[in-house]
Formats: sequence, C-alpha cells, structure tokens
Amino acid sequence: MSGDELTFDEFVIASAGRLLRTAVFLVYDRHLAEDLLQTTYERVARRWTRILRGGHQPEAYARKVLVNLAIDHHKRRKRRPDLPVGGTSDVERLTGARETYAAAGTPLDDVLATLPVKQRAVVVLRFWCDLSEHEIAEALGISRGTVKSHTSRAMAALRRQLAEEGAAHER
Amino acid sequence: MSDDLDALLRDHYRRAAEGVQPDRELIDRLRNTTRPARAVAGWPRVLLAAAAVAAIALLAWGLLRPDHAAEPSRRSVPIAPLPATTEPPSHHLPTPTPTPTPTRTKAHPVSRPPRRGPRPTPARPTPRPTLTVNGTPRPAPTATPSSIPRPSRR
Repeated sequence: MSGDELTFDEFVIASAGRLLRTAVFLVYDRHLAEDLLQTTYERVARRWTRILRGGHQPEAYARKVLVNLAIDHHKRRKRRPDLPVGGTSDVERLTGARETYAAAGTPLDDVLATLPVKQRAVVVLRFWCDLSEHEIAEALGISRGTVKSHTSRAMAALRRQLAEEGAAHER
Repeated sequence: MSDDLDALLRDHYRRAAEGVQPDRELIDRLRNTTRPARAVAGWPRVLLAAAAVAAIALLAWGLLRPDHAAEPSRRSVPIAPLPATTEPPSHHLPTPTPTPTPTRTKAHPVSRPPRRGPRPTPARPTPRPTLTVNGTPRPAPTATPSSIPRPSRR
C-alpha cells in the first residue's frame, strides 16, 4: 500500500476489515472494537498528511494506535470498574449482554480472553497480523526482550490451559 | 509442541476472521466521523482562536489604557477649583446647562483644550450677573446669546 496517492477514504475502505478483526481479537467485544476503531481512524485522520509525508505505512500506524488504545482501555477498566457508561459496549457490559464475535466460544477463545492484555496483544500481533518481534516491539513501545517474555508466558499459559481443558474433555 | 500451538493459533484466527466483517454502515460511519474532524481542524480553528484573543486584548486595552483611566481625574482637577475663583458658589442648583461651552472656554482658555467643552457642569460662569440679580433660574439664555459660540466658528 503506497501512501503517495492514497486518500483517507480509500485507506479506510482498504483497511477497515483487517483492523476491525484485530480490534475484536484484542478486546473480544464487537461494539467496543468498533468504538476503538473509530477513535483510531480519527487519530489517523488528524495526522494523515504527516503520516504520508513521513513515509510511514498508514495501516501500521493505525494498528499501533489501535493496539495501544485497547491496552489503555483495558487498564482504565481494571483501575476503575465503575467508570461511567460511555458507549454501547459499556451498556452491554453493564447489563451483562456481552457480545462477542461469531467464532467466540471455542476453548481457545476462552483461554485467549483470559490472558493479560499485553500478552494477548503480542499473540494477536504475532499470529494474526504476522508481525516480527521487532515490529511488535515498535507497535507496543516495548523492547524485543519484553516481547519475547510476553510471548513465552502467553504460550505457556495457553498450553497449560488447553492441556487442562483437553484432560477435562477426556474425562 | 510450540509449532503445533503456533499453527493452531494461526488457523484459529483465520477461521475467526471470517465471522468478523465490517458492514457498509460501519465503513460509512468510519469515513464520515473523520470528516468533520478534518474539516474543523487546522486553519479555521486557529484563526477563530486568534480572533477571539485579539478581541479580548483589544477590549482590555480599551478599558485599561492609561489615557482612558487618567482622563476623569485630569478633568476634575482643574474644574473643581474653577467655581470658587470665578463666582461665589451660591448658584449651583438652578442653572443646568444652557450655554456652558463658550463661557468655559473663555474662563480658562489656558489650562484646557477646547475639546473638554461638553462637560461643563461645575464651571457655568455664564449666569453670573443676571442670574444673581433676578434670582430666576433662566437668566442665562439672555446673557449668552450675545456671546454665543457661532461667531467664533465663522
């Protein structure tokens, strides 16, 4: 995707699907994912000219914004679970009608949803977005060593929980 | 084992992605919500802010400038002593403002610029002779016509 002649509208049309899926895998909540995506595009639009002029990849920039928004949102929720209602996703969360994406409900989803948010972000960026350790580190603003440790912890947790669930199924 | 889990995760995300599609409405919303932000941001907003700051600064300057603040005091200082010098202070009440302008300029031409004319309240030297004699409140018009301003303008 060369940013030279790309207009913002074209960028939205081309990237919305991929970024929406990334958002959903990060937060496991379709409405929240849409809210975060909207905020992401607003921020990208504000810096659109600068992004193109600086030779950055708009989608990489948007992904970075999105992942960090998701992490920040999770931290905020954790710190203050009684935050005032803000959007549709909040209403659904408060009423207990949490909507997840279509494939949710598989054992792997349940396990992924329980991972700490940064570990989950690393897993999503690695296995869904196919980013290298270096790219993940840049997107999250952390060192490569931290990416490695997040990845190994996440994988260990996934393996452990999947083994437990497998054992439970066999019984 | 690790490779298995890698493959499992990749496959899982690939399959899950099929169920997450942005609909037309979402795409439109994403495109439209960014539009006002782009339109409002930038020069118009900066110009508006600058204009507001300039207006406030102008207003503040207009109210607080030293000239404006000092004017009343400068005016009152010379005027206050005048009644005492020109005339006995007995007749303050009756004469309102009939012909103060010309007389006042005559009374103290040195100290004041001619602009100060329209604020004649305490000076009113016009009524002096006739007013004291008659005791009526309207002697001034009779006294003034002769010395009234017009000739000087001509």
